[in-house]
Amino acid sequence: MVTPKVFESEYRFCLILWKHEPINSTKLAKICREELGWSRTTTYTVIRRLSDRGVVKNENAVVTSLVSKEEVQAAEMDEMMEKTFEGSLPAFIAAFARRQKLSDSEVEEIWRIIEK
Amino acid sequence: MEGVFLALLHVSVNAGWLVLAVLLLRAVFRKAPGWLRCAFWGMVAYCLLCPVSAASPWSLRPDTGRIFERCIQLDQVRSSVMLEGGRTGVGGLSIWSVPAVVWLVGMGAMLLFIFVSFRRLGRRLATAEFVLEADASRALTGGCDSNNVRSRYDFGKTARGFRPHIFGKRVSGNDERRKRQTAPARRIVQSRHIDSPFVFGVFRPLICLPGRMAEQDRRCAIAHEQAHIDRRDHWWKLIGFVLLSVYWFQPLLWAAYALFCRDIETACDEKVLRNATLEERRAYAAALLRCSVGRREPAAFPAFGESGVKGRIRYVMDYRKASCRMVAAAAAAGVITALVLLTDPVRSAGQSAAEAKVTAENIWQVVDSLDESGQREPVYLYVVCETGDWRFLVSRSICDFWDREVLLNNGDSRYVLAVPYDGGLYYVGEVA
Repeated sequence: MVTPKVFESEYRFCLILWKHEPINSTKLAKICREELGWSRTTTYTVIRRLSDRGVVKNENAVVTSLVSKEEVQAAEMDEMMEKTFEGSLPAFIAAFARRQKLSDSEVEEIWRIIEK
Repeated sequence: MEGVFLALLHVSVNAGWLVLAVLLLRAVFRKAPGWLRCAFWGMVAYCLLCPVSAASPWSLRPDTGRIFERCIQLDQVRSSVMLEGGRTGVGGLSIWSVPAVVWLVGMGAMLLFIFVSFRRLGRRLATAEFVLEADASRALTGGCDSNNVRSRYDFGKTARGFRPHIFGKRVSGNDERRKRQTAPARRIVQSRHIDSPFVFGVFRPLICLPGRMAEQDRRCAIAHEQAHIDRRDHWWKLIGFVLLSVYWFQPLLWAAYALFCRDIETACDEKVLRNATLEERRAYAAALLRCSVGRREPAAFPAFGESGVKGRIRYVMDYRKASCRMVAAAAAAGVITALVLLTDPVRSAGQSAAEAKVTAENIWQVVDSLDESGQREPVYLYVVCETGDWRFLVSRSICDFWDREVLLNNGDSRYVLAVPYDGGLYYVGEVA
């Protein structure tokens, strides 16, 4: 079975769900309001979309997840998003800053230049 | 193929001189603004892109053209002749065949790398979502309302099923409609699968941000990426890399590309911070540092001079606009360099065939041909000697290989080429 895709802010929602599930949808909406700043309608829309896609289940106003966190992460790993390549961008991409290995002392020195 | 490779080799040698000159210019005019330094590299790109260059009397280029032209001519003749066993002469393959194949493989590998990288990045962005930018001002600092720039899941304004546009795939119709209704002012997405901000895409560039970024850093990164887009850096860098793929055998060009990338970043920093206050510069430098810090390990190797980040931050903090005089001087030096190194030296015209004396002493090489069936097709004898490179067409009625004597007729003079039976030396004498 192919694990369904989870988009960016849906993922944050799922993190909350995995922490609190099974949970009543009203309570879930309240937590989402506190942690994500979503209105109630937004949360319900997200729940509906995710249940359409088969990521969560909403029965009698109780929401549970159908895929676990490990499954979602594993599925995304499968799509060639190896962690080893995470830090490196190709040279022909215009980036803000590239990841570099800086020692603690170098970082300190640079902070001093900034704060001067 | 060998001819193309030889031509590229020639261009790369010329470009090498230019790169050295630009390195000198950069060292001399250290305070020159970033955009001017990028223009210097533009000259190198122009040199690499143009297969022919004009001749001018001020050119200082070392004249390697003759050597390459001779190689190319020899190669062309070789590729059109066929071997008759025993003769000295070569058939379809030349000594340039192996290097040419190596070059093709190298170029193919690099172009493949571009494709694969784009696909990889596109896949990583598959679950990214557009970021709302309610705050339209482009100030770097200033009261940051945390609700504004934070990514918000708003049903009408997110992109579902994002696909990289460079591959021509479009998002589904519904999404297009939704995007048109409430299209964000700038195309900015956020993804938890990337860890530093960059611009993705060639024709419809997308600013991609990592998941966890402080508000302040996010503004600075967006401003910087927008500067990249405004300067069309996403094109120049890609064109530069494609040029590097073609001319990968020229080591000076790798250094040139690395420095070109650095100059681009500096130019973008300048563009963003043109009228910035000290506070804004501090915030920008801090954002730069925070985005560069990867794993906190001691550096495995000592850095070559200053590491990229340190140099950039130092530049950002000390930035002072270059004086007009400095800019003018640097620009003038650039123009002179272009005049001197982008043009070929003027060559005196060679002697005409009628004046040349082709004698045994100055024959350098002869390449001849006979087709496989022994038919006497028009035969080309390519005689290379000190007085010039002559290509003779031997007329069919005169060519008689059984006598081992070939009459060369190039229209004006007639030479006899005596070919001994053992295929060794060639003698040439003039016909009365």
